[in-house]
Amino acid sequence: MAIETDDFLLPGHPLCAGCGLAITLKHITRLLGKRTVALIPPSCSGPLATENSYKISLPGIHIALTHGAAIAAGIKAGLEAKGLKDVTVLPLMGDGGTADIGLQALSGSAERNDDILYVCLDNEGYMNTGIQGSASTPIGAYTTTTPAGRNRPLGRDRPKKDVFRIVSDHDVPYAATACISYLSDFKRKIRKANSTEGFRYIHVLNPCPTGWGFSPDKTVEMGLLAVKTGMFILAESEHGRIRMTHVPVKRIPVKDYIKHQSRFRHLKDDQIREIQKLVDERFERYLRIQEREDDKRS
Amino acid sequence: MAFCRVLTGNQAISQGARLCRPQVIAIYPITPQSEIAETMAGFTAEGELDARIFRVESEHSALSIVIGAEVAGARAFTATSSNGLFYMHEMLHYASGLRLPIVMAVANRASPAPWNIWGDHSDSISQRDTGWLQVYVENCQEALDTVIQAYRIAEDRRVSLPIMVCLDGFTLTHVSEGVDIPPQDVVDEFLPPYDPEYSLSKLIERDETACFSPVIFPETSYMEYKYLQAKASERSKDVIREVDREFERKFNRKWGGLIENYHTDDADYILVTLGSLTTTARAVVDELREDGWSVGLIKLRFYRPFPEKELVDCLQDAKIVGVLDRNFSYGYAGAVYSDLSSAIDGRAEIVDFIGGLGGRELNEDHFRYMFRRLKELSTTRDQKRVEWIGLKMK
Repeated sequence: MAIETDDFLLPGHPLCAGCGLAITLKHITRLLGKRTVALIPPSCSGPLATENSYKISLPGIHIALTHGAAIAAGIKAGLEAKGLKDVTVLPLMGDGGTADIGLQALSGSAERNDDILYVCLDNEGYMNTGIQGSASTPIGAYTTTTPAGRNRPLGRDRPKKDVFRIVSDHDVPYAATACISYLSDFKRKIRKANSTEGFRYIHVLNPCPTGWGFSPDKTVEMGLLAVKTGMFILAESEHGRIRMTHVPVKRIPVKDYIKHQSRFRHLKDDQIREIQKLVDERFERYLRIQEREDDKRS
Repeated sequence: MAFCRVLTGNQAISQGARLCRPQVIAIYPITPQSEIAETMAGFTAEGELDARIFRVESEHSALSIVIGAEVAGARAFTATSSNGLFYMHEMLHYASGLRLPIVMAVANRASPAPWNIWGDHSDSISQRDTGWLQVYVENCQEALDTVIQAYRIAEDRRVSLPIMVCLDGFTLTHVSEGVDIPPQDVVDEFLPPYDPEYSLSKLIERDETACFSPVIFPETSYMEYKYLQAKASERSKDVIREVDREFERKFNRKWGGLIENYHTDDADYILVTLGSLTTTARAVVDELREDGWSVGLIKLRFYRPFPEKELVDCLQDAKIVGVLDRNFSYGYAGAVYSDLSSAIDGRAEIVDFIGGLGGRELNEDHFRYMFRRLKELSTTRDQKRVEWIGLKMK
């Protein structure tokens, strides 16, 4: 029996139970509608685009890991040359394809202000291929390529690369971070991106029960905790002017976030204190950026 | 109205590309190709060409943009050389696998290290197995004409494969010759607008959803896709011959299709060359023929598809055949020699001359020497199969 749906993410998809990506994709495609081309790289979205099971009900193409922004720009130009001016080209890149191997193409495209809507689906690692570490993996996280051991007790020993700020510093028309746990903020940003012309970047945190090691019913809660602790900052920028879109009234300790996830299980109290310090510093840096922008506006 | 202008090889390629009306262009500058990037940018700036041109941050993105444009259904153009071509390598496979008729000029250049910006064929030859057709041109007129032929061949639905139009770095890219620029209306008649059977724009216009290049499994159709790609590469030989004949009817010039042979019918000693050195070799063949030698020459235009049948027909009665390889496959021999040996399959003796690497000069003396060596080697059994020409060490 066929299941009827108005969604563009079709039922019966092979994503993990509790996958944050599924929620994100469902909402993004709903908001953008059918004049959209989906670009799917090898990533957790890859299994949605197989020969006998294409689970996104939009015209699409399975692309390479390296070139999301560039091929998107080419598709947009090609469609315009064929007289189709109103189609949104949507590369749905993972964090590895964004923060690591696709960063050059992303920077080139952002600098040119190509008219595409680039989405980074950030689950903080190469999760589809067995939980390897990426530049977007947070400090202290265990992954299969950043295991914690006697010589590297932290596991991943560098802080998460802030791609949102990198892209924002290209003075693009619109860039934002978002998380499905803050759905109205998320939806507003997608709509804003959709109504903006030129290069648009949305960096979405997708909690990953499989890669992070938490119960699949806690996906939304993990997103809430990531923002409330300051591990993930909700912000947006227009032409390089950064603004925080949600400032927790009182941030809760990082420990209350990482204790739910087995990827942080190896951390000792002093290591958690170090991570807390880094998170505080990054959060305060954002507050200072925000104050500077507020000063400029007033 | 047709008119003649003095053009460098790079400008001739650019004029050829302009006449083909590409809708999307993305080129990263690299010596000795940069003038193509500059000329195409100039055309779009002055409105001589209505195309979207991208200033890109790398060759990888240049080819990715061109791939995207062609998947959308638009005609696209790019150009590169050496390190740039190597940086594109991942996308070369992607373009041919998607069966996109991209035309790309390759200004042939050495493969560093050691660092070298001058001409040889090791860049494009080393991309042999990426599924692109490869044509090597001899002069600036052939460069311009071959770009126009290349779009016709690539976009033919029997082919649907990308083509590299290879021209020698500096000896063609930077040398000026009188070039006839065909009139736009005649080119338009010869090359209709690109109309692929499948494209993203067609999907959108028909309100259909489908995914290009999805994940294909071992036991479903990956091998079948690749088999069809192999068949198309083979079939391109007929299309290349047809297109050259039709080109002659329209433009009064022909370039031989897959190969051009010169005095091979009665020749005992035949040399096989690619690209601009053919001109020097041809002059030496004329000279030696005046001296009573039975020498001949084959210009290999297309290296892929490899014109096995034509080559065997021309070469099987020769006493000995020499191949001039401006490349080397380390651990064995020159690439053209290897392919030709397999095609000839013992029907003629073959010797490999490695020369002109990194822009090392090959002049008439070197060609006289090669023909002399062919004559010597044809009478000895213990021949060395690979000889380096113009080497300054023992």
